[in-house]
Amino acid sequence: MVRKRWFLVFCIVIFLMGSFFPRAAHSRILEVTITVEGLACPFCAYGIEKKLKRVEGVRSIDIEMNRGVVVLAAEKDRSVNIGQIPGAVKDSGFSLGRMKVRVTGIARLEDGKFILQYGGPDELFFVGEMKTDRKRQFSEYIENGKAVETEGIIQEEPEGSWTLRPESLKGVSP
Amino acid sequence: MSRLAVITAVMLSVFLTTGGALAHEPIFGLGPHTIFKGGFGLEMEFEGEKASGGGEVEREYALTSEIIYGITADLSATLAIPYILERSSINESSGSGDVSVRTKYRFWRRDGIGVQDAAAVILGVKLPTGDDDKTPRLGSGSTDYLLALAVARESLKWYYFGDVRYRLNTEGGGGLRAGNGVFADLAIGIRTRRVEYLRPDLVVIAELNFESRDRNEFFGVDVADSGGTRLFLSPSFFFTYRNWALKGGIQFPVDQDLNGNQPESDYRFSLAVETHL
Repeated sequence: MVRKRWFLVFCIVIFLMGSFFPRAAHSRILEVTITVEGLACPFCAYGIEKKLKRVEGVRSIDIEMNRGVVVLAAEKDRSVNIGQIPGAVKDSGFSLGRMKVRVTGIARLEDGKFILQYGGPDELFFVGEMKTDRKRQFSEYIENGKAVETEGIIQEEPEGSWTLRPESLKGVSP
Repeated sequence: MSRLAVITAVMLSVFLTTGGALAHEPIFGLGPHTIFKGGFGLEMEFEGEKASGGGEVEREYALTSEIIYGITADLSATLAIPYILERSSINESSGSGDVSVRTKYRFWRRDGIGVQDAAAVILGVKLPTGDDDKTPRLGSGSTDYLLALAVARESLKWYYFGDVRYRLNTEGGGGLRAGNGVFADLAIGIRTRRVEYLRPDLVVIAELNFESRDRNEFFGVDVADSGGTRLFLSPSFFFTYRNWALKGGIQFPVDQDLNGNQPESDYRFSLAVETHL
């Protein structure tokens, strides 16, 4: 009887943890949309398909040739490795324009900087300039520990870190 | 020195200078396009020429296998192995022709949304691997060199190409040295219907191909009935689907100013299938 009660308490604790603390499995880059410059023919686009398919975590690629846009969708429960994208585009003989991501992660504040962590310790975006109301929204997510889904332009900094400029922000249930 | 040998040498030299169009490029000229890094291109090209005059008719056909490799995104190497069928009014021979190797370096590129401007330099060497003992000969017996500069603008609708090539020939079998040549090409292409990726795509091209050849030399002496200039107008096309391309064209002579008494080119053609892996 006592053993059953402890088991019930254990289950409740696990359930509550799951409810209050976002799980790492929900933190990942879901989709990357890139602008590819120089893409002018379907035959040449094969090279970019081939190179981008080798980027870790990519499940599928959709090439919109007339807009010069390529959308990379992530595999289930995996992140797209954004660090491999610039090299893949270069090796296919084109130029990389803008990179935009749709990402879920945990909002944090470190040394006065907003951070969105979407995976392991190194998998994070430093959040760039935001409007006041969006800053407030981001702070609320930090306070209540809710996972965040955002879409925005990303940029690789010279020292190798990534900056994200959120265009939209919403809390997601774990 | 048989006249047949002279004609054959000239016809054989056509193939190094025109073959090896890559992807969306002119069929008879050259373009600056390279293949992606680590990519392989395989091409099978069937090309031919008919020339006639002075009671002689010459036909030459070549089936050329090409392997293209992308060393980097801007540097590619091509190996071309032709199989040649030579047919004159009196005899016929066939077999492996002269193997050629080319490298292309795209030294300049400017990319925009739906447009790419590029320029490349091309170096080629044709090796004396073909049989030059047969009659008609299948190889020139000489090591010949090609230097070319190609520029292009490729967009979603229009294509523009231009190139200049210089062909340096050395003395080959039987003391014959084919005359050096200067070639220049202009081409304009249009995509018939704007399509997305993974849709069949057709581009039609009009090419203007100019060539000027020096006189051949036979043991250091100029051959009177050799050399001259030709201008061709060449409708061509490339049809692609994903990583497969079918491309071809016909060269019609517009003007031929040939030295002495030589057969004039009636037409040339090329049809090729290419895939990228």
